[in-house]
Amino acid sequence: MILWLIAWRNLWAKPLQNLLTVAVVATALAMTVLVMLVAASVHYGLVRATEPFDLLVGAKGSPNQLVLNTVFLQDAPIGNIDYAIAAELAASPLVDTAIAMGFGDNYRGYRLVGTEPALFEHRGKAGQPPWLQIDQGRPFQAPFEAVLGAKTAKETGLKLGGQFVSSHGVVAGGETHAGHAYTVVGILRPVGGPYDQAILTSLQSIWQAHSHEPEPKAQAAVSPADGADDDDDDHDHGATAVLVKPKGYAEALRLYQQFQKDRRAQLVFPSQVVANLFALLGQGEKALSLIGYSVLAMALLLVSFSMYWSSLSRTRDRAILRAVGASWTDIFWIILAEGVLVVWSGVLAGVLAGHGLFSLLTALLQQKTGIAFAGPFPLAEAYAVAGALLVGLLAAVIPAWSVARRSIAENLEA
Amino acid sequence: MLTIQKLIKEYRHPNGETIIAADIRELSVGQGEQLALAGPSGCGKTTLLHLIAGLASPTSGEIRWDGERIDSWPERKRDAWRAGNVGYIFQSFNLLPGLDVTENILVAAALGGRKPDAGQHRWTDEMLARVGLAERARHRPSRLSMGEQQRVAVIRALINSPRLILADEPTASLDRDNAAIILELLQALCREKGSMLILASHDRDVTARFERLHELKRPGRNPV
Repeated sequence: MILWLIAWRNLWAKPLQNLLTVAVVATALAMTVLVMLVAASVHYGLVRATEPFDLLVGAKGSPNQLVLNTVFLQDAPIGNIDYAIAAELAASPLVDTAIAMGFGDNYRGYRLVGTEPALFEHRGKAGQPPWLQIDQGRPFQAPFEAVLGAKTAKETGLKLGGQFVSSHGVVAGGETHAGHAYTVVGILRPVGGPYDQAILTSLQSIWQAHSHEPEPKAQAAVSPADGADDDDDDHDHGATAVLVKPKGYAEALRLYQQFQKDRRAQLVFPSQVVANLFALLGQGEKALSLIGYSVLAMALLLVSFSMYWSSLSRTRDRAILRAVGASWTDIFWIILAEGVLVVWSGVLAGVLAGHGLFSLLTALLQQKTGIAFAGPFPLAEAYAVAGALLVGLLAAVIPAWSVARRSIAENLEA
Repeated sequence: MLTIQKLIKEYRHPNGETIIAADIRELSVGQGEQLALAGPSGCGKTTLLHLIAGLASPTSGEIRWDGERIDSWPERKRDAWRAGNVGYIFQSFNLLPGLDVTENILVAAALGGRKPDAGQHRWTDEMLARVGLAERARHRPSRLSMGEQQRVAVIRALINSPRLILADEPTASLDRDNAAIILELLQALCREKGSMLILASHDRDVTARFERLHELKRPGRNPV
């Protein structure tokens, strides 16, 4: 106990120098931890968001755009496919369920998702509870009935029985569908994903809202395909995407092969698209991690030298302690305790700061995307923290050993 | 009983020359005895105290404590012996700047794996009151005068009731009045505790207060 007291008091005898050392270690580790947490949690959050989406069928174009729009409710829809494709898929022996989805309208920036009641029965995996569950009210049944995502309900203030009018496009401020007011009939439980900020309604609602209305070309997912007539009856029977649950993995592959030859639409594996995105982004993530590790290593090296010189400059204090009764092992433990207290305080502060910054960042990201970025702590963080603790210990052991074994007599003033 | 025979301490100068720092033919001090070591600067007074305390090892010769050769003990054993038997007082007080007055005293009782007992806490309070430092118990050394710091150093040296007190020019940094106070305190406490006192000083006024005086000469010229 006395050794810890002496170590503690010695540290506070030079508070600025020691707090600076703590700050250097904390900053370096916070950066490293932040990079690791962001990389791991973004990966986790995006992959988790794709879980309910086994396969997606949509218009030809960018698979990334199809996934971003349908799964993450970001970006603009590519365009429409004929609703007949959804019907064909539903009838396919390879398919368990096929649920059509239509995008292109919003209410105050919250996207309307035209879909089918079967979506409320859809499960990410067999045996799991349904992905979207009603918290209040009921699923939509008639046109212009809407079910709000948890965040949509909270932020718009809409309640059961409340009414709103949608507007064109995927961002707020578009032309409104006057005369087609929606009534809120249900509110979803939070799902920790983008659909917390969705508004679900029937496809028919979207079709009817757009019928006999001239559409702006951009952002109108339920608008007709290029060259089609606005007044064509088929115009309203488009869908932006079809959420497909295959009967099994083999069936999924066969479906994929079929759509490779299909000129009307493409089929994508959302998890594969996200994995490809990460393969691209992964290089940047690796570079950032390397920078983080390098900064941490340099900081620890700097701290090691600083601790070494600091301990050498106080050999007289150690000699006094020896003269009044301390053994060399007492001196060793005091110097070791000083080093460990400084470096480990830096490590603790760094971990707390890293997690604090990460919480702020993910709260902002979640606010913007609806994706829950919290995930299991990455193992790499545990390695980085353990490494920093170990290096801190070693950085303290070297000066502790060196000073403890020094001659006492020559450091004692007569 | 402390006995020293044919004790030599040499240092190797960086230029290769061998310097004899201490050369003592024979010296013995009995328990409770108070001895003054006198001699000019460089005669080896400090080196002798370091050797007796086990802070340095002799080049040759022997130091016995109650008949046992302490100079041949391993470092760990010497550390333990010093912690339990020796109180050391320096010219420059050498209080630890990070600890307050009470902690500076009790630290000597807490090192070496020991823990200050209630008696030592009480004794510290009594001693601080006796030397007029009761109000300064929680002050850091930097807030004390030199005389006050040396009073604390004397109390620290005696906290473990050591059988041997080594004092190296304990009054050299003090004015005459403070020097007299410190010497009086040191000699009185050693008498009360029955401790052996070996005090090194070049000041004749100081050494004159001791019944026994031991003169050291420059090593290599006129060994004792």
